[in-house]
Amino acid sequence: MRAVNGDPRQLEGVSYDPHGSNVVVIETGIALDGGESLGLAKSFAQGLNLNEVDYKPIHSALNDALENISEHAYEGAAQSEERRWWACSIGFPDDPQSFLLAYDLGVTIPATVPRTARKVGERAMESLKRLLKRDDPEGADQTELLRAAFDPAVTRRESGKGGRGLPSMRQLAEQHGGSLTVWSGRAAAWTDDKLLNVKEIAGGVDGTLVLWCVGEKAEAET
Amino acid sequence: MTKIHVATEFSPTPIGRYKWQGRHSGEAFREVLKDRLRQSRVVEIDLSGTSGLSTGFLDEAFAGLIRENIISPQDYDLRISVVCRDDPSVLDTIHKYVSEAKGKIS
Repeated sequence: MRAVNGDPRQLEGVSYDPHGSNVVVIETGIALDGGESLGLAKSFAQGLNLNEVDYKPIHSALNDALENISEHAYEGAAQSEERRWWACSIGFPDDPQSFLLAYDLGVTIPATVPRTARKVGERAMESLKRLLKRDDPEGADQTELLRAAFDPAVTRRESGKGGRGLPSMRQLAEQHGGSLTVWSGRAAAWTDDKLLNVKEIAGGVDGTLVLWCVGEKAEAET
Repeated sequence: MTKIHVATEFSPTPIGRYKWQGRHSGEAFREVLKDRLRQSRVVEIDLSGTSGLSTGFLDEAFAGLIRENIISPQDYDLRISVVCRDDPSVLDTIHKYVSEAKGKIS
């Protein structure tokens, strides 16, 4: 394991197995690299005993998450250290649970929801206003803005450029009997058996952390 | 007709919408396609063997051909053929984005 010394920028390509059984793979970068995310997706899928075909949707979903970070989280920032992303997969050989994380230090999802909806088009903006029950989405509570980001009517780029956001990431987690949790700014959201919960985080977090946790149901059934 | 096998001729793991996001983005691949379309009336794109095809990549590479006026909505189906033997669902995703782009242009 490479020395970390408290600086997450030093976590480049680390494979960490502290107890000789768990596997932690961490990648970080500025530019997007599908090879790096492939390693993470494979490691994550291994914990779920998925075959080569089944890990591909996970790889695509992770790439979508990284694309979202690159395109939205750091809007206006130069292609430099300011645009760094981190991703990590954690698997436990004798445990049905596996974890996949994507993290950025960007402007947070609640901050980007109104301007993304505005860019997506008039219908998305109207949906957002309806959801928030207010005409000025920028003034809404962060938890409600994060909840809105899970609504396909707000995030889907129906008339412009296509893309997937939190609704698809949630779907993937649920397909594998798991959950999706997002911490972003002063808000957190998590799925729990098809329900979406939101709450305010005291003190908040810098940026956004997206966590897929799968295998929970499998554990419950065995 | 000319063929492009993406996994071997471009990248086995394409990602990103724009060139500034990475070397193997949809915009970069669209430029490869643009060159091939200059050389040949019909281009077959084989996505078999790739992994992690992201929506930004697919949208920018294929629907981008129409949005950027590289190919007309009418000509798209006549000049572009896409195959993906190991994951045919990718074709549905591309079709959806291309249809949206056609709808916006026409």
